[in-house]
Amino acid sequence: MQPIDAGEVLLHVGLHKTGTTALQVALADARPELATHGVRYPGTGTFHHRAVLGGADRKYGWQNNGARAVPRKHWDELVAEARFDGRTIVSSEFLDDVDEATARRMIDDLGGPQRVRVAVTLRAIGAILPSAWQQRLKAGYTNPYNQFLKMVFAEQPSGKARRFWFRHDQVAQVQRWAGLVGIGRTYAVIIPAGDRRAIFNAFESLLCLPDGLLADREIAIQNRSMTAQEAEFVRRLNKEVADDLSWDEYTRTVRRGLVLNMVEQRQPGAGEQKIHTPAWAADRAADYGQRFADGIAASGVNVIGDPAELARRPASGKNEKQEALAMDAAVAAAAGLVRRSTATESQPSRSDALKILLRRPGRARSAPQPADPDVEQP
Amino acid sequence: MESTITPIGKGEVLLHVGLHKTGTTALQVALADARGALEDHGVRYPGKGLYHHKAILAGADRPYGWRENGARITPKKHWKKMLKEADFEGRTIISSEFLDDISPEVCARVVDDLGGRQRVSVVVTLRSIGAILPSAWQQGLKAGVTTPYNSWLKVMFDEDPTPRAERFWFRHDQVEQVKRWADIVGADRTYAVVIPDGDRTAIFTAFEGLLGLPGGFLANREQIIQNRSMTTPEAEFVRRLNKELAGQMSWDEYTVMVRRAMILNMVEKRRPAADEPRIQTPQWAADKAEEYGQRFAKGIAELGVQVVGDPADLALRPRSGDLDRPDVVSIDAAVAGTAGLVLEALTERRALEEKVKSAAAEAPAPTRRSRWTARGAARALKRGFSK
Repeated sequence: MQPIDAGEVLLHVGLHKTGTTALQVALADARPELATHGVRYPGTGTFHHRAVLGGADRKYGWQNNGARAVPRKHWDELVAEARFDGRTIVSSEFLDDVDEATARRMIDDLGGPQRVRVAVTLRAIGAILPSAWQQRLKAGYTNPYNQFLKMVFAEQPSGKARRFWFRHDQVAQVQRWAGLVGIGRTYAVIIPAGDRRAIFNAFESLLCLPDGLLADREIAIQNRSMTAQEAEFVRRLNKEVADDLSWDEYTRTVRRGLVLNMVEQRQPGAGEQKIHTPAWAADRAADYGQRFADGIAASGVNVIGDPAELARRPASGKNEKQEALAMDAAVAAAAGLVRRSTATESQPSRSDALKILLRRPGRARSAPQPADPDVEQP
Repeated sequence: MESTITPIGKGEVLLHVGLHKTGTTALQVALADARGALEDHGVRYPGKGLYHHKAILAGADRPYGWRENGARITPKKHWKKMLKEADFEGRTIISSEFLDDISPEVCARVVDDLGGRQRVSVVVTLRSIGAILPSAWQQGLKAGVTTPYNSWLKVMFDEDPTPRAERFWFRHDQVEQVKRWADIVGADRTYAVVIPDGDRTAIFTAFEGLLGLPGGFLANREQIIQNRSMTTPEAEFVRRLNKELAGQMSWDEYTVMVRRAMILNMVEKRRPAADEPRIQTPQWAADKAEEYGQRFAKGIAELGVQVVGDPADLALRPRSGDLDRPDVVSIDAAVAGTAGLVLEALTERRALEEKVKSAAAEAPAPTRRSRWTARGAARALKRGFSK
């Protein structure tokens, strides 16, 4: 694949759950080396989420409780940095559900269709489904997997289902961007199941980087899937507490304190049940995947990888009702919460109170977390 | 069962010294609940709260909490207030399990403060040591203990007792305990109440008798108290959490988060399935407990104190069986426990936010040097503390 031209911007719009976090961590880690190859990853942090949220005027959080607008200046800073004579890469999954008008405005901010190219990373929808459900659980969602699937595949799509497919109808997503920058400037990158290098290799070639510069990086991204029992634990905890919490409180206690600790601190036993997609939904996913594979192949955009991968039927199976949680999972979860607690012996002073509220323990230890696609009030 | 016990004299004080795990909490809750009605029968349960723990901790100069981290002395005024209330022409009942591990000198002083041996009677409630053991271990778990049950039992029954075991037996050597008090107030003014296993009304009936209350006056009171035992997986969950957190918290933090927010929530909010394993005492320790129990039964009968109930009940062998170390906990236990933690963390955050808000409102003009200005604080609050 030909690299993009020097002076151009490559806009990576996700999708979620296609290895984006690993890519972003690698790019951030490689920042100085990238510069020596004429590639810029703007900013100083790991992600461009704030810039993109700011540029898209999108709020982050539960829309009716605690969502907050991100200041526009983050986007303006990114745009200023992207005025660069080398190649610039901007990456955020939050681009995957901006409407067409917003997308056009953002592209214009970055110099217009003649300067911007778009890469969409894609995986089989059957592989996306359990990840998407789990990601929702980490944002307070309370519906079991089967119900989530029924929502997604309902004949009469609800508002939630439409939002889901606005992101995950891979053909519509790719066409949306192709409509703005042109099919010749749009890339569909197909990530085969289980291939952790594919996304790096694709971006190495698009950015004209030496092979392995991104792929060979040792990056500590910990984003393993939850097992069936862990997921059921989080789901039931959400049910118990989510009504009482604002988004900010939820992220600070359940999401970062408990779930993160559980997922990071523990290695599930080999026998621990994974989340299975039921057969009916696996069939639907295979149907949709076939349609996406055909649609992408026919779309005329630049395709990296084999579209047939998108039609892969997920491993299916029955989900046993989970009643027991591994002791180490329960302990890690509870300890994570206790350590984040703000309990203090005496009445803190104002400045101490503020410091306690603002502190983010464990941030240094904690590996970068993926962006949250599915933030909805439970 | 109508009581045949002769009540203590009017103007006298009945000092209930526990022991722990003999139904004391249920008794205290019933007494507090009946407080108004008790006065109609010439009986006083001093104070306004459920317990007399604070007064007793103060009266006995006993620190409360982890000795090396966060234990504190209770102000003397709590005890003085109680003494004033106990100066009463009817019958006064004072109840706290914290009386069970104070030295004979302090016991004597407590009795003196209350008017001396001619005015004070002492009642010790007893259950078979075999029934006490798993409860005592669990109580330890709720205070941060990390030792598994079997190892804990080994410590308690070691030929060569550690200070920890000595403290335990200072409380739970039932003969020594009863004798300690009898030496101060006299055997005739000392009552050993034997609570048969599983009998929830025995303790009420005994106190109705001792206080001259009508039969059923305490026993028939609606009990809202639920102090069920933890199941084996719940206990293992707490133990492992204690281990995970050991050395990282003060007593206050531990009490607020783990003990109250998590354990209490788990034990109160959840009803374990019938087949969830209960804590069993291993054979070897059950044998020891039975042996000790026989010794206690015999010793109590020989002390010459007033015995309510059958001392033979003290020799009961505990339910025994193989120990297992579960590696799963039921999801609803984990949910109940962690939900308690989340809500507690939340309460704290909200209190801190209030603190910052009100301080921000009152703060004088900020100096340039201050890291957090009042306006900055207000902005941070508005933003919700993002970055």
